[in-house]
Amino acid sequence: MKNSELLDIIGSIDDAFIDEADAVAQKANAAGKKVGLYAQTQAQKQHTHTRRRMVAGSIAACLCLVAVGVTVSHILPIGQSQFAETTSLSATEGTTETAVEGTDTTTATIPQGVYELSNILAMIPENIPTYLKDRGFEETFGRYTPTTKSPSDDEVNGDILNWWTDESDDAYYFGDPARMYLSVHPLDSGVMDSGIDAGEFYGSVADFTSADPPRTASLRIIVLSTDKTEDELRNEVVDALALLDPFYETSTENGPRYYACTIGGADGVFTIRSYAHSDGTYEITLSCYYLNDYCESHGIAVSYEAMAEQLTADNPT
Amino acid sequence: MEDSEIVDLYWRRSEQAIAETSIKYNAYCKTIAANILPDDGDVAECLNDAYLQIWNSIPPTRPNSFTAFLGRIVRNIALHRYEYNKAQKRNPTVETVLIELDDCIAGSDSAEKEYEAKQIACAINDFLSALEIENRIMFVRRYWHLESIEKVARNCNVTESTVKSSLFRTRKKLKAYLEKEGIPL
Repeated sequence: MKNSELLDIIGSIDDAFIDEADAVAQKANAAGKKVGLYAQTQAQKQHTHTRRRMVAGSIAACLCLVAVGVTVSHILPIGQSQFAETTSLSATEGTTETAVEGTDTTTATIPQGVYELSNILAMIPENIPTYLKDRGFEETFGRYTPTTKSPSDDEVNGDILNWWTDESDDAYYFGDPARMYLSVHPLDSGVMDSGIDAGEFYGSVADFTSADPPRTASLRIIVLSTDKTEDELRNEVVDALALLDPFYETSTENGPRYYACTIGGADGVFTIRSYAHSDGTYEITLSCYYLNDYCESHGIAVSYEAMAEQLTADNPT
Repeated sequence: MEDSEIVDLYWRRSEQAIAETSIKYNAYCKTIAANILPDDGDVAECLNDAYLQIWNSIPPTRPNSFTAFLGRIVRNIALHRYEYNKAQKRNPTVETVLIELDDCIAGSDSAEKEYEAKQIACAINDFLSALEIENRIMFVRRYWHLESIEKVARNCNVTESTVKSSLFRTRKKLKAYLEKEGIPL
């Protein structure tokens, strides 16, 4: 069969699918701005936006978390060693009313300070499985499920290595919610790149109700302010991961300065994106695509540790 | 005018049917045709052919979804025109779509292509039914409407990377599904 014949066959799919897809475009056009597919579908599912509440029993989330976490933890020591001199948090306290891009309220309180990327990377627990078990996750066949419903206020506010989840987006957050944080969330489950929300969080929605759990996850690092240039910041992430020769592409889809580099395969095993917001903040997103697929195709199924080694071997420093 | 009223006009053989169709759906049809055909003249000709074909098809057809019926006719005519023009003009979007669909199939010279096509069409419908809505919409907008990745992303308000990754996974799943269903590829 020729691919053009398959294209013809696709032309005969049920009307309902076409109407469904047309409706999305029509709404996007009618609204004068893009009405999000995910916003639409998520609204239908009536997710509530309750922060800092743990998601009960999301095996898929944990799988993604572990997939990303273990991979990163095995790669990170290489990068962390490069930043050994800057392991302490250096922040200048103080707050200011700062305009926040992407929000309607236009102002939010953001602590000012200089946060070294290495400090943020260092917040990632080196052994996430152990870290999770210590904090009440149950392991079942290598997957981790939270057993407690919500962390206490002390846990949320007191510990720089804190973590919490957001019921609305099923993300896992690490860090200090008042200063800086990073999050792990399912990339292909409706995460919207809508910028920083209320100075602490970005607005995101996700769906873990799918029968087909997402295989990708994203680890987002929020840098509220820094004395480094965007290029320097992005390169630090690349260096920290010990990955060489990334393929960079530029785009204006998310503003005037949007960069992405894809590393590790045709469709990417890792993608790093950096966003420079108009308020001077940066976001760097590290995404892992197709972890399972990658492992399977390389004969290293289920072993993320092996995958990390494979990645390093593929990209020798 | 409601679609059912337009269809009724066709059934009554009123030429107003074509005018009403054009008023309501010209932009829609033009978009589909333009996704496939880069030349404005070809697009205009494609639309004229489409209106004529609709006129000839209704009656006896009474489509459940007039929009989909219309879009399908425009798409088919545009694709045929594209094939016709292929030797001289190439639309990179359509070429890319065809290359991407290579993920799902392999070469075959089977004599039972028509039978296979029906089999595959049924299987694809079943596959799409089971697909998550967001992935299905992206798949349809890409492979039915033949929209560019950029346009799909814009319409769905997601990043191009999200669209690419969704399509990649869906193509892989589709291939696996067709193989599982014993569809000869």
